[in-house]
Parts: sequence; structure tokens; C-alpha cells
Amino acid sequence: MELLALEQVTKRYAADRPPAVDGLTLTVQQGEILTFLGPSGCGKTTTLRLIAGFEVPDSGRVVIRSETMAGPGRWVPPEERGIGVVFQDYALFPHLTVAENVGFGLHHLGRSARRERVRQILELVGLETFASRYPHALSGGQQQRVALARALAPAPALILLDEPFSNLDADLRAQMREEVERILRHTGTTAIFVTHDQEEAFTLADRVGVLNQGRLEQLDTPETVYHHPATRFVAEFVGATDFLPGAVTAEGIATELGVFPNPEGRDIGERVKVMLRPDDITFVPRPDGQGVIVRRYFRGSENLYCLRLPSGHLVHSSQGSATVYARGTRVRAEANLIHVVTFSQGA
Amino acid sequence: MSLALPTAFFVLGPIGFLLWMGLAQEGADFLERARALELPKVVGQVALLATLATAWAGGLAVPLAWLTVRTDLPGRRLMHWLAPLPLAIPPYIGAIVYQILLPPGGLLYSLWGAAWVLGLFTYPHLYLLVSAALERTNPSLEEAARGAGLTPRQVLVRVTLPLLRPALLAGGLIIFLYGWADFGVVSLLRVRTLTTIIYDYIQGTLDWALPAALSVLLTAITICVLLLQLRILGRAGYAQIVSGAKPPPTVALGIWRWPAFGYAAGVLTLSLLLPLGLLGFQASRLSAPAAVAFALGQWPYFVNSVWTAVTGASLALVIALGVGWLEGRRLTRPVSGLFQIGYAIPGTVLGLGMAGFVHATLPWIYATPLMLIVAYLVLYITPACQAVKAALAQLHPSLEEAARSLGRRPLATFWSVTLPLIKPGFMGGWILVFVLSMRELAATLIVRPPGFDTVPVRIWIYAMDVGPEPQAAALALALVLTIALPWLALLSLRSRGIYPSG
Repeated sequence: MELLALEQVTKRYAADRPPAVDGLTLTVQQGEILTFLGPSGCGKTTTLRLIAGFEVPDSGRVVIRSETMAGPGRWVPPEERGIGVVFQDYALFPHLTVAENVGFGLHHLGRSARRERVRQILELVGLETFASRYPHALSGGQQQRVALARALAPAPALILLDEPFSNLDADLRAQMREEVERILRHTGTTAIFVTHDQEEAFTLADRVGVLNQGRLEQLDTPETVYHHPATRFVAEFVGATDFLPGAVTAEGIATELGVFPNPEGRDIGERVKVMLRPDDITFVPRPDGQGVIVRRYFRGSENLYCLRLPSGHLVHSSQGSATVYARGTRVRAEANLIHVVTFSQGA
Repeated sequence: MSLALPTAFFVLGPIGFLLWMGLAQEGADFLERARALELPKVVGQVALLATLATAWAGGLAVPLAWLTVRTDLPGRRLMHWLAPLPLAIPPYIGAIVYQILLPPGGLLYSLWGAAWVLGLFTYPHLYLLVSAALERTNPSLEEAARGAGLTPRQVLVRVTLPLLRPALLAGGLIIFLYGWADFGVVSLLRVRTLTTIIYDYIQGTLDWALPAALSVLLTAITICVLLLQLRILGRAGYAQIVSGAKPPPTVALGIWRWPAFGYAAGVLTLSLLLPLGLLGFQASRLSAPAAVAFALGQWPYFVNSVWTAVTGASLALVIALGVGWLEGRRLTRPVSGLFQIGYAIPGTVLGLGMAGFVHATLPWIYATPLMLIVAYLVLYITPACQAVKAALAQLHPSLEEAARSLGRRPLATFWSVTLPLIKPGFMGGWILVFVLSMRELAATLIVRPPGFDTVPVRIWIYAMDVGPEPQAAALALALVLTIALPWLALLSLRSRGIYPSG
């Protein structure tokens, strides 16, 4: 079932600047976890604020459960949208206890029903013993959980999370990510995350929407976004990428690293750029090899090598960290492309 | 905004009235009378008075602030706590104190005496700003200077003091403006300034034109100084990267410890301990039955002071809250800038302008205690707005958005989230306006209805008519103690980091 639909939503903060969100159209299914990924200033947070009702779109419609929330001649304020929000800074009310924070959105319930719901939701996030503490007495991870509990307490149809893990330490971040996903799946809550962290987007989401300059470049499963980026921007923003020039021939796409299939059916004679991921490239050291190792980046579980090809193009190859090749080693590089993705030369 | 409009009306009305009256003056006639008053000489004298008072206050405040915040001065915590307290002693009471101490007719009754008193009882304005700036100074900046090869003395001169420039300017201009606008001290010490000339004129004659023209002149000067302040501060606001909780390191004074202690103790003695002691001593000369009779006789004036100050402060804060909240959300045009005019007008001028303006437009308010409340509102709406704005600025907008997303309407959000969170800043602003209104003398003297005296008015009349006798001292002591309690509460709010800037 379709829960949320954005139709040609545009938001401009100042007349003399490009729109923050530009003609955004997408739908989100019930129970789905969606992530907006993009560089800072790409419009992802603005999109979230438009859905929540903190901003009014200049044009287009925001539809939740077939009901127009914002659109021509119609405006539903945030308090009537039934959307939970987890803020980047958590926005916990400092003058209220954990239990009062969590119960803040339950003012329509009776006293005992509210207490029961607060207890239940605190149990879900594992904070039942912290009910009477104040937010400042909690750790970052605990505050994060209170913010989630508060947003979930009124059982919203949709919950929006704005960079929720960015204030946490790296190891805590991975742990909280897993826990938040468990809670969201457990409650069947539809969720939209905003992040600039690609790993976070890939591990959490059913679908990832990549935004750039207010436009949706691609909205697909994480695997599709990684292996079949729709645009050159997505290819470059998601994962490490090299591009190698090639020419389309009858046999396939001919490049310096060999001939690749042409599944996209490009016209013969066309000049293209072939996308190469570091895990697509392997090499063997050969004294007569045409490539040279320019640099090695030690990454712990892997070594990333930068190779210079005879044409001067640089490509990267990731290898296990067990063997180490010195800089200057001559190598023969090979590309094993499972997914061939090409972009037009000019793109 | 339904309350901001009448406030703006009362801010602009008096000034407009004085402009109209003052400019209606016939040129030649005015020049003739200005010459008779030796106007250029008087203006020069007031300028000298304001400059001397500012320099004297700076000489008291800056070393004291540095000693208490950044050195190992003996008893620095106690002194840091005591240093702002002289603000509870209005300068005109300070003048009475030194009248008790020194023989009549001496050097005290001169420009120098007035500057001495003004500096001693206004220096905490500067102290508060400078000590706060010193506490905020990022120690890494001084460490970086040491790392670049500067000696501790060079660091003080080339890094620490330059970083204080915005605080010095802001505090210095407050005192400079006070010097221009003061009426209480100069009238008691018989120094002729613009304010005393204006006051004497409206007491003696029914002629509006000359006092109005002088008021316009005085207001023009103070507004120029205020604009200069805004301009300088707009440029000189240094953005320091705030460091963690690490407090700035203290400097070891070595053999200078005890001379420094003597200096700091001397400042506090002259401005706080001696005044309280002298007032107490002078008041104790009243016999017990006389004291009781006196207390009963003065009680109504006390009631007058308190209820007008409470009403004025409450009204100012309610308006400031409305204006601050709406301005923060860009739901109204900025009007609080306009209110600053009220802050720049000397009390004497505002009193005169309001009396004339209200008499002409709203005669049913004229000669009622409402006049006092409106005067306090106009004079002190700016500190109220600053307090509310500072409190609102601390409030992250996501808190209100969180409440909205949890189903609260805007008004419910305001009651359940905004108001509880800004309460300390709001209370601080209320106390500030209450204290300022309680001690207001110059405007009150002019706008009070016949027979409706406040405590400052009674003190002033006693001191002018009879001199610094036990009655005046007793009343002054009572006023100081009444102001000191809320002032202490305000300072404790400040030490928790929520003192309104202003």
C-alpha cells in the first residue's frame, strides 16, 4: 500500500538562489525503510521538513494515505499529520524527564493509558529503568533512544529521521543503527532516513534515493544504486569510481583494459566512459607489465592500489591485505566486469 | 501585535512632542536665551563629566575584573561575587553617602565630585561585561601566543586586552550615556548640567519652549552616542571559537598579591562597604520612637514604588515576550529597534516629553499613577526585550518543531515547551526592569501626580531640602536593601549562565 507520495514538490528559500528541492516526485510503500543520500546542501533535509510540515512547498503536492497534506489550496499543519520526527540534535525537552518526553505526544490518552504506553515503548528501546531521569543525565546513545521512543510513542504511520546517528561515536553508530532498524521492523513503521553516509544508507534501507541539487538522481535498491548508477553523479558519489574511455565496436566496448560486452546497446562508433569499481580490477606483477603501482592505501582489511595505465589514466584496485606490492612495481591489470555501466563521453 | 503599537506610541510620542515644541522656538530668541544660559559651556562640562566618570569607572572595573577572574588574588571568589553589588546603590544615594562623609561645600560639590560618585556606582556595568568576556576567553588563544614566543606580559597586552575591546566599548558607552543623562547626582551636588537646567526651568516657569529645545539637544547627543555604539559594536564583535569547559589559566601575582588585594579591597570599600556602613550609621542616629513614626509615615511611598515598579516590569516583560517571539518567527516587523529610543532618552527628557504629550493626547492618564508605569515601560522595554531575545535565542527551533510533530498546536507548544524553557531568562529580565524602575528618579520626579511620591522621590526631596540627615539615610538604606534582594537573585541567575545580556 502506498503511504506517502510527493508530486512535483518544489521549495525555494530565496528567489535569487536555485531551489532547495526541485520537482521531486516519489512514492513510499507502507512498512518500507527509505534513505535519502546526498552531499550537504542537496535538499535532503528540506525534503524531510516538507514531509513533516515544517516547510510549505512552493508548488507540488505532499500526499499521505491518499490525503493531500500540502498542495494548491490545502495545508495540514505538522501537529495534524501524524508523523514522528527524530531530530539530528534529538531535541529532547530538557525540562521534562525521559518518561514525560516519551509521553509528550500522548496527551490525548488518559493518565493510566499514557503511563502504560510509555512503559511499553521504553521497554522496546531498553530504557525502562531511566524513566525518571532528565535528558542531560543520559549518554548520547541513550538520548538517541529516547528521541526514537518519543517519536514512536503515538504510533505514527511514518517516522522521519534526520541524520540520527551523526552525533554518535563510530562504534556506537553501527550498534544504534542495527538497534533502530530492529525496532522499526518490529513495529512495522515506515521510515525515511536522511544521511550523507553511504554505508548507513546501504545497510538500513530497502531503497535509497540519491539527491543532488534538489533533484532525485536515482531511487532504487542499494544494490542497483551501487552496480547500476543511473547517472554519472550517482556513480561518483556512491563508492569509489574510475572512468575509462572506450569505443563501441561490433565486438563490444573496446578499452585499454580489454573489450567489454555492450548490454546497454550503445551505437557502434560512440565514444563512452566505462565505470570501474576498485573490486572490478585485479592485477598480477609482471616485469613486462604495462601498468605501474603509483600508490598504496592501507585500509586495514584491504589494500587499495592506484595504478597508472600506459595512457596515463589512473585506476584503483582493491586487494587483500595479506600480500603487499611496492610502489613502482610493474603490473598487468585486468578488469572483470559483472555489470558493465557506461556513460556518454560528454556526461 | 496589539501591545507593541501603544508602546511604540508612547516611545515616539514624547520625543515628537518635544521636537515640535522645541523647533517652534523662534531662532533669534532662542540664541539669546542660550547665550544667557552659557549653553556651550554647560555642554562642554557635561561632556567632561561623562568622560571623567567613564575613565574612572574603567580604572576601577578593568583591573578588578582581571584580578578576580585571571589571577590568584586572595579572596577572588568573594570579591567576584561582591563586585557587581554596588549596582544596587543608585548613584544619587551614592552622592548622599559622600555628602554624609565629607564637609559641605568642598570639592565634592563640583564636576569632580559628581564624576567620582558616578564612576564609583556605575563601574559594575563595565565589570560585569569585562569579567564575563575574560571568563569566555578561549585559553588556546593565549597558549598560541605563548607558543609564538610572547612573554606573559606581551600576551596580556597583545592578546588578552585586545580581545576585551567589544566588552570595554559596550560597558564604557553605558557609563558615558549615564553621565550625560544623570540628574540625581548632579542635582544633589549642585552641578549645572542640561538635565538640571531643564528641571529648574519647568519648576519655575510654565514656559515649554526652552526646556523642550534643550531636551531635543540632549536627546540628539545621546542618540548619536548610541548609534556610534551600535556601529562600533557591529564591527568589533569578535567570534571566538568556544573551547570546552576548560577554564582560563590564572596568573600568579607573586609579590604583587597583597598590593593587588589592597586595590581590590579599596574599590569594594569605597563603592559598597563604606556606603552601607555610613547609611546604617546615619540611620541609627534616629531614636527608636522617631524611627517607628518615620517608618509609618514613609510606608505609603514604599507601596507606591513597589506596585508601580511591579506593574511596569510585568507589562514590559509581557510585551517583550510577545514581540520577541513574533520577531523570532518573522511574524511581525522588527519593532524592538524602535524601543531602543526609549532607552536612549534621559529620564528627565522622557518625563518632560511624556507629561506634555500625554497631557495633550490622553488627559485622562495625566496626573494618575499610570504615568509612572508608562514611563517605566518606555524607559526599560529595551532591557526586557534583550532578556527575552537572549532566552529565545538559546532555544533551538527543533524543540518547538518536535512538539508540533507530537501533535501540539502552536499555542500549546508555547505553553508546554517555549515558556518553561525561557522562564529563567524571563525572570531575570523581570527582576532587571523591576530594580531599574524601583530606583528611577528623574522621570518620576516630573510625571508623578501631585501627592504620589515614590521612595527615590522622597529621598531626593529630603536630601535636597534638609541635607543628608538620618531620615534620608534611613530611607536610602531601605531602598538599597529592597533593591539588593532581587539584584542578588539576578546575579545568581547570571552565575548559572542565563543572565540577560544588557
